[in-house]
Order: sequence, then structure tokens, then C-alpha cells
Amino acid sequence: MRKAAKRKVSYVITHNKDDHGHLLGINSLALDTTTFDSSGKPGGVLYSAGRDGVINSWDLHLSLRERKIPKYNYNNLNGIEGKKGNVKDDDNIPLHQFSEVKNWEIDENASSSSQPTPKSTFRQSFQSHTDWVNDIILCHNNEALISCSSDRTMKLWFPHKTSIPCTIGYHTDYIKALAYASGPGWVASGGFDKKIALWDIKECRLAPSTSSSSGNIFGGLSERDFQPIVTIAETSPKSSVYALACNPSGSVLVSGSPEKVIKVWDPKSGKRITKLSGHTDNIRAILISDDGELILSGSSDTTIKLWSLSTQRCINTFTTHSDSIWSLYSDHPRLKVFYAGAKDGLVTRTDYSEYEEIDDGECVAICKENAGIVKLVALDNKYIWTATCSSSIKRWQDVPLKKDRINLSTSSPPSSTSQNAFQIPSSSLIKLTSAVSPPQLITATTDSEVATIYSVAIDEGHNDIDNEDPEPVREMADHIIEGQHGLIKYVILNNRRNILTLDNNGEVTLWDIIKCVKVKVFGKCNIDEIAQEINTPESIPNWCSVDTRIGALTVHLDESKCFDAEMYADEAGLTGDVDIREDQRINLGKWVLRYLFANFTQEEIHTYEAIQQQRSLMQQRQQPGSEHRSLFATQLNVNIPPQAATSTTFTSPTASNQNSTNSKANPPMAPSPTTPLAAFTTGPFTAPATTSSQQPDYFSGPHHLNSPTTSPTTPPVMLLSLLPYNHHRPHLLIRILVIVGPPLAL
Amino acid sequence: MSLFKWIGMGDLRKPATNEPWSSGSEKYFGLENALYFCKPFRECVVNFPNGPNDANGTGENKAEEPSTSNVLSEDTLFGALKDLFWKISSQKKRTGVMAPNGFISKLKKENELFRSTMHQDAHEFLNYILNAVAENVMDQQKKIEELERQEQEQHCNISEKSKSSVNGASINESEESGISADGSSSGSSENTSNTFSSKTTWVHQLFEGTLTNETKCLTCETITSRDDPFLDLSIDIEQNSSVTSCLRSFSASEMLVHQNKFFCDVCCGLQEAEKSMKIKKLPNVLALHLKRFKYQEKLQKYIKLSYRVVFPFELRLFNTCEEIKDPDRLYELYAICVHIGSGPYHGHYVTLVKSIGQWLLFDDENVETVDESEIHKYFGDLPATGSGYVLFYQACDLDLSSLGLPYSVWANNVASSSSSDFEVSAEGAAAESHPIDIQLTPKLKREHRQAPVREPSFSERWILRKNNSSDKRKSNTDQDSKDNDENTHEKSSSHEKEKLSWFGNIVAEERKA
Repeated sequence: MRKAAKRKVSYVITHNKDDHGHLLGINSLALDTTTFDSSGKPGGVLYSAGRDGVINSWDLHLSLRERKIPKYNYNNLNGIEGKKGNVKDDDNIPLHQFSEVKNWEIDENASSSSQPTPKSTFRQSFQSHTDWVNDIILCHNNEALISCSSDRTMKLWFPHKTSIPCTIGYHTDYIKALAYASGPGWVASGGFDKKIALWDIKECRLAPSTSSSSGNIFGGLSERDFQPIVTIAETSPKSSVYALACNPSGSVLVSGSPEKVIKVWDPKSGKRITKLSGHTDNIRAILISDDGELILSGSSDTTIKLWSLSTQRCINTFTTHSDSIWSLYSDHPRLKVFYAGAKDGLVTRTDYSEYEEIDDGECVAICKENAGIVKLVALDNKYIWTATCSSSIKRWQDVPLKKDRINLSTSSPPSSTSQNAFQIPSSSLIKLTSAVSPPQLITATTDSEVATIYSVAIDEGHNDIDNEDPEPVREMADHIIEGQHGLIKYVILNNRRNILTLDNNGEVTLWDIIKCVKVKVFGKCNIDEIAQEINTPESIPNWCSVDTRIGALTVHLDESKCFDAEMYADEAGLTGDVDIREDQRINLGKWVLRYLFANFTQEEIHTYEAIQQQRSLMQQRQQPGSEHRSLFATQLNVNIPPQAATSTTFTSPTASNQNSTNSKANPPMAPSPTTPLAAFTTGPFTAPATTSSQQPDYFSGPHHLNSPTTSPTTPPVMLLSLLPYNHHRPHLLIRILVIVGPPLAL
Repeated sequence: MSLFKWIGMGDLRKPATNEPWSSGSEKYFGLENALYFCKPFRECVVNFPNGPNDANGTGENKAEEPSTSNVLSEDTLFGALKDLFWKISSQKKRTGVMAPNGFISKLKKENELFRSTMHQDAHEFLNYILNAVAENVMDQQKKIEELERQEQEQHCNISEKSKSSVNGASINESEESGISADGSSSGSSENTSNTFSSKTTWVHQLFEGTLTNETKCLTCETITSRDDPFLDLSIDIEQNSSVTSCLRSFSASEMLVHQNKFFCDVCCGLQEAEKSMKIKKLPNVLALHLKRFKYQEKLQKYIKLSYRVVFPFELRLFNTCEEIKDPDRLYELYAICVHIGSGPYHGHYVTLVKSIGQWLLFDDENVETVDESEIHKYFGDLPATGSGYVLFYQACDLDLSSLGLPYSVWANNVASSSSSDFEVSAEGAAAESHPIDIQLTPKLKREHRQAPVREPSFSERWILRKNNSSDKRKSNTDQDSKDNDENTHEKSSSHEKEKLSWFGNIVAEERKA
């Protein structure tokens, strides 16, 4: 039998349940424009992944319409410049079909006709990780979301189904980046363990509902699915993966690292195809064109480089930023329109989609955040969402593409002039100087038809803009999805019950980790001074550990020491009518666990009672045992809270009691789980809760229970004495319940 | 086994002034140490506070000076060192041998480490001496400040008188005791006070540089840096490398990853980071310690790495911060401490010093000239020939007045006492106890440049000394070897040329960097 894993119970004390904003910075964003809302049309859903371990989704309430014509002129995509005005709809053959799913775009008419875009509202939230979520990616036509985290796990979540996120992969260090190849149906993950792993998620398409009776909460997945199909491992200390990209067909995978070279991999074999060197610092953002030919990389050396994979050369170096490039975004299949976000907060859009020469394109400084742009997404050149290390997500109005501006100004439809006859001040334009080819004059051929007064103005601007300090077009964000203030520092007071915390707004707060409440808010002051002031000379054993890694207070109870601390009951601050002996003491760990698992205990009792009822019915009917079993199983799957099911495969005690040979014939079952659940209905387990305030309702996240593995071990001696039945190894779940049973008649 | 250790010490008199006695120019002493290990060292700079004592005195007075200084600072290592240097510098003979008994006994008294008969490490010794001297000087400075204040509080007139008396009649100084050294500071009291105010000593001003430890969080790209002062740079070495490449790997960035992540205050968590050591302030005198003695995990003991490490005669430090004042500062090699022997626990130290354009090899009581083209023998590919262990580079643009050092004192010193301008170049001659000899070399580059004029006379003198040397055996072998050298000179010249051109490459490379 394998050695039992160390068991640990953690719980998070949250304070503001009504506000769903992130507590800490946002690390990743993902945009879904295909999911229908209640009105029967998609309104846009934005997913945000925070450093607080939470993934939120937000309803954007955009007015979208079905996209009739592809966004970009695909004739140009193959490098063959189509003649202006000659392009018919028939010629617009996408390189990669829009797939079976319809595409949606911003409905210009709807949006221009009226008031500003409505504010985004909260949709869903899941705290599925216990550390920073570093990246999220949508797959399966936006039905599934995959997240990766510094807690070294990768999770899959079906946001539109009632399921909980399920771990689908592990790395041995922080997982930093994800890339999804829709064609072959795998997701690549890159981590600080210098590994890139490919995970087959085709099977994950299975909806949880189809797997109802298997006892596994996530039907299609079992242990073996946790193996990556391909693993690429590197050894250099600088080869931690910071950026990862692949094309939809999954033919090429590219990665960026502090090694300063872009590595190009063949996902099938895991072999390196080539490496592209030229950057002089960490590569933190990378994009690849749909055909896998062009690579765009953003580096901490402040440059963005465009590479051709077939020639293995750098085609162009964009020096449009003066600070580290942290994020890139493009929805153009050939990356001819792309957005870049830098450490200094500047977001630019570079567009050379209509030109043969990159230098002829334009680069617009769109907005400037207060902090580095960790991630940005854009929609239809209409909106940009930016994520920074602050907990708010900002939405900015994009500016129309050059061709759109020109079309508008020439055709001038009266309906949209007010909004779209948009002039970009020359101070917002950044000159595209090419390091590869000398600047060239704009040739008349490409511009002849669009040479309006307006475009001339832009060209003039081009000539005398200073690259140094562009003025962003947008000074103010269009809309802000506000975040909250997360905790960044803590001090454990000597009584091991009160914790002082400091949030990123500078506020100091005192907490009670047993009652799980805020005791006092000190406001903005020095946390260490307060700690000195209010600390007591007590000396209580260290029964728990605390951290604020995810911006909220997290308490960890470790099996080995969580029962070490006791306090006098009359000093515990109990309220209500409690009869306490003078010298009666409370074990803090047991006290907490008792209430953490109160709901669970209750549920178990109900389940057991239901089973008992059924059993008596069955016995009356004299039916074969095998049929009981399936019935029980069904019943259990309905009732058991998810954490029970994820931690063990539950077997009915009555079934195995009834037929011991049966349990032998079923090795996966826990051996002889004889402990009757009925025991819980009497004795210490029914002790009334003395303080209702101690009933924490934070027990919503099943992930906080780091479920023990399925190998039962002997419980601590102290606990054995409490067991009503100890002649057999108790079932794991039950043992946890025994542990949480209150030792005192409180 | 009682090994008699001999320490050769070279002492160059400053030619800079027109003072009559300066014509005495070079003196070479071998200091003889009868103990069976020796840790001699010398620090001519130490003489500063002391020097002024005879500022007004003539060369003849010098013999008396040591006694004065003894009275002043007998109780410190610094005092002992000062005595030693005084003795050397005040010798009337051009050549000779001197046993640094007083100093060694003091050293042993002060530091338990050096009390045993073990051979000592030259680098450790250098470190200890520099720190101890700096400490002593600091104390003395404090005392002086106090005394000065007291004096001022009393009668200005009287103090002036006393000062003049100090200056005038050094013999009478006994009453003044500790003060004399400073009172001695003579004309330059203002300068000294300036120096003191900076809370550093001239030891720091000469040897101290600043290393900065930069850590860049790879997530938020915030750079946190911490500055550390250093008196010498210890660098790891590799086989068949050069000082330049060793310095490069010294400053190469280190990744803080996996279990060793960096707690970033901005990110409020553990993140990957890149750490690198860079030089933020260049020292005036760079003591470069090559880590030739390394603990080998496998063998559970220290071993000597007799790797060949090429060191250039001219060095530019490239691993500097961006905001550094003078990144292209050129350093010139002026002293090499060489360890001979294959093991870490025993061996022999000799020192090469460049004095007035001429390389001199100090081997216990023997001093001989070495051709510059022979220096490559000390790169260290063979244990037998010895390998460079501590290299002393001096900034070419070293300007004493810019140091904030009491220049007038210096000048006086130069004028009066020959020893004042010497630098510590330490090396021991002893075997296992990495015996250490500190040798004096001229502090001023300018003098080097002036030197060629005198050079011939110097070598003549040297030969003279050689002939007079009491150690016949030694001189014979030397002579033989010299003859041999001359014989082989022609043959090896092409080889040397190659070497030299390689030097050129190194320098060029450094400049590029």
C-alpha cells in the first residue's frame, strides 16, 4: 500500500461576498462572443483570471450580429495584393474556415444608434486555484475553459454546465502559458519547470451529465488522462516558458523564454524545428499566424519582431515601444493587425494589413494604463480590454482601422459620421521605422484610390511624430470592471487566533480565524505598529498556518499539528447559552474542523438515512443484493457533495455489511467499510452549535478541501479512542468526520 | 621541520620631489624572519599619519623616527606595521635584509588564527590586515578628532605651540603619545579632518569599491539592488581562461528559479528572478583574488586549482553598472602574489612587483629582476612555477588629490620619508602557511613613467647587491638561471612574441567589452 499523502485542510476567509471583483491583479483574459445569452443572441462574455486564484466571467451586453463577411480581406493573406475595389465577396475565402460555429461581430448599427455600450455585469465566478491563475484559454467552441496556475495544476471548466473545474494536468512548477490547437484538439502548457506538455482534450468534450452513474464526477477523465501526450523538456536554467503559441491546425508550436531565443517545435514529435535568435531579453509574448508561417514576438528588450518561419529570419523589428513588451494580441490570420501592451502601460495597434510594405502601415497609441499591460484582448477594432497588476479590468474604445476611416470619410454615410469620422491626432501616431528595409515613399498604386485629404494629413503626421512620447488617443477608459482590494501582508498575533492583515489599499484589518470574521478595521496605518500595540504575551502552539497568497486570508490545518492548541472555553468568546465548566478547554483545531464540516456531516446523515430507508424497503421486497447496489449508487451520486465524490469512491456501508463476499469481489472498494453512518445521528455529532456565527459559509469551494488520497491509513491514536467502531479500518471519509467531531459537549 | 622563512620586501623611494635625499631613490631590503613561518606584510600607506613626524627633519633624523612611532601606536597592528615600514624606509643602505619580528609577534598576539605554525593564506591575510589597519586608523582618527577638539577648547595658541614642537622636535613627542601621529599630520590638519568626516580611512579610499547585487523579478521586471562594499574581489577561475573571462562569469547572471525563487515585494509572492553582480564603484587599487583554493565536495578537502589563468598587464573592468562614473577606467598591473606548490596547505609565496618600470621578484630575502616577458610563467599552468594568486591593479588615472587623501601630507611624506608611497602587495614567502609578504610598490603611476631614466642605474645597483649578497648559494643559482635565461632568450623570443600578442588581444577584447 502506498504511503498516505499528508492531509491538509485549508479554508479561505472571504469578506465581501457581494462584490465579485478580483482581489489582486489580473493575469489573463479570454473573450467569448458566441455564447448566447437569455435574449437568444450572444452578448459577449469576458473571462478573467486573477492572481487571487479566481476565474470570473462577465457579461458584456454588447450588441452582436452574425458576421456575414469575414473581417479581413483574405485575398491579401497569401501575400498576393488584391486590387482595390476588385474584391468581391466570393473571393473572400478564409484560410481557416470559421468552423461550424457562427461568428459574431459588433453590430455597428445597433451600437452607433444609441447610448454608450452598457456596463459589464458579473456572470460567474470560480475559485478553482490556490495560487495565481496565469493563463486561461477557451476551447471547444467556447464551451470549455482551461486555466493554468502557479499552484502547478491545469484545470478544465465548463462554464455553462453545472460542474466544477477538474484538474487535467500537472507541472512541477508554475504553469505560465497555454496554447490551444483546435484542429487536433490538444492544449499545450508551458511552465517554469522548463517543460512544454501537450494534453489531449478531445475527450473532454464529454459533458458531465453523460457520465452520471460512473461515480466519477468528470465522466471522460480518469487518472490516465492526466498524462500528457507529448512532453518537451529543456534543461537550461533560463528555459522557463514565458510565452507559448500554436496555430489552429497544431502544426507548429512556438515558445519564448528568458533564453532570448524563440524555439519552434514540432508538436507531433516534440522535436525542435529551429530557433530564432535576435531578441536581447526575455520573450514574454508570442503569436503565430494561422498558417504557421509568421511569428510575432514581444520581448523585454522593448522590441516586437516579425519572423518568417520558412526563411527562419526576422522580417521586421517594430520599435514602437520604449518599454518591455508584455502582451500581444491579434485576431488577424496573418498578424497584419496586432495590438501590443508594454510595461509602461502603453497599448498600441499596428496595422499594415493593406500594404505590402510594413513601413506604410500605421501604429496608433491607443491608451495608456497606470501599470504594465499583462494581457489584452480586442474585439472588432471596437473595444480593447486590458489587464494589469491592479485588480480592475479596463475597457477602452478602439479607433477604426485606417481603411475604415478612409472608407467612411469618402462615402460619409450620414448615420455614422458623428461617431466614426474619426481623426487620429498625429501625436498619437508612432512611426513604423523598419530596421530591415529603408523607409520608402508611399507608392501611388496602393494609395491612389484612398488618397484623400485626410490620409494626407496622416502622412504628414508620420513625418514629424516623435516616437519618444506618443499621446494616447484615449485618455479615459470606456468602462472599468472594478476589482477589490486584496490582502498582501499579514501578521499572526500571539494568540494564534487573531491575524492582522494589510491590503493593497493600505488598510489594516484584524481577523478572527476561528469565527471567520473581521474583528476590527484599523484603516490606513502601519501594520507592524498595530501588531506591537495589540499583541498579547500569550504563547499558543502553532496549530495552523496562514497565508495571503491569493489576496484573501487562507488558513491551513496540517494533520500533524492542528490539534496542538487549546484554550479555556470561558475565554473563547462564546456567545449564547452555553454551559461551561470552569476549567473546560477547547481544542482549536477540532473546533474549527467541526464547523467546517458541519454541512457535510449533515449531508452524510441524510444520505445514510435515505439508504436505510431504501434498504428496509428492499428487504421487504426481498430483492437481490446487486440491485440494491446500483440503487444506492444512484442515490449517492445525487446527494453527496462534490468533495466526497472527488475524494473517494463511496460505497454504501449497508451493502458491504450485507454481503462481505461482494466487497471482496470488488477490489476498488474500500475494504470493509463497516462504520455505520447511523452513529453520526447520536452521540457527540449531534451536539448543537453553540454559536451560529461560527458557521462559516465559506465552505462553498470544494477545492479548499485538499482531499486525501484514497489509501486509508491508521488515524492518529488520539482519534481512534473516539471511534465508536474501530475494529476495521474506517473508511476515509468517515475518519475525517471522526476527526471533526467535537471533543467537548459544547 | 623548522623552515626558515625569508621575506623580501622592496621599498622604493619616491623620486617625485627635488629633496636632496630623494636621490637615494631605490632601496631594496630583504626582511629576514627567523621564525619558521612568517606573515610579514607591509603597508606603506600606513606611514601617512606617521610620516609627517619627520616632515621637517632631514634624512638623518629618520633613524630616530621609528622609536617615535613606536611610542604612538605600539599597541596596534597598525603601529607594528608602521614600525616595520619605517624601519625599511629609513634604512640607509640601499639593500639589506630585515626581519619583521615585531610585526609578526604583534600579529600573532592580535589574531589567534595566525598564532599556529600552520601556513597561512595570503588572501586571508591581506583581508585581515586591511581590515585591522582600517579599524586602527579609524580609532586613531577618532582619537585625533577628540584631541583636536580638546586642544581647540583649550588655548589655541598653546595648541599651536605644541604642534610646532611636535613637528620640530620629534624626540620630545613622547608626552604627546598618541597625538604625535596626527599632530604630525602637520600642515595638513584641514585635509585630514576632511578625510575623517567621510568616516572612512585611506585604506577604504584606496581599496574599496562597491559591488551591487541586482535582482530583477522576471514577472514585474522590477529591479531591486543591494550595494556591498569590497576591499578585494574574489573570483572563481576556470581552466585555460583569462581574468577577463573569469570576471565575466563572476558577473554572469544567475537565475533564481524552482526552490530558489525570489520573493518579490511588488508581486507579493515568489517569482523567478535574475540576479547579477556588478561593480558600482571602481576601487583605486583593485586587489583581484583568484580562488585557487577550492573545497572539493568529492574529496572532502581543499585542493589547489593550478589552472592557467591569463592576466593582462592592463585591465578594464567591463562588468560595471550603467550609471558608473568612469566605466572605462584603465588599470595597470603592478604586483602579483604568486603561490608555488601543488597543495592548499603548504607552499611558498613569492611576490612580483613592478617598480619604476621594472618587475622585481621578491623571494624571501632574495630580490631579483624579472623581465616583463617572463611574467607569463606565473599564469599558473604548472604547479612548479607558481601561479598568480592575488593580483594588484592600480588605476592609471589615480589622482591622490581626488582621493581626498591629505595630499600635502603625502607630498611631505614623499619628501621626507621614502616609504609613504607604497602600496601593499602582499605575499608570503612561507610554505604551507600561505605565508604572506606584502611588498611595497610605488603608488603613483606617474613615477613609473618617469622611471625609465633611472632604470639603468637601478639594475646596476641590483647587480651590485647581488654580488654582495651573503647568500652565495642562492646568488649562484640565480646567476646560473639568469645565464640560462639569456641563453634561451633567443629561442623563446618568438614564443614570447606570441604570448605578448595574446596579451594584446586580451586588452583589445577588454576594450571592446
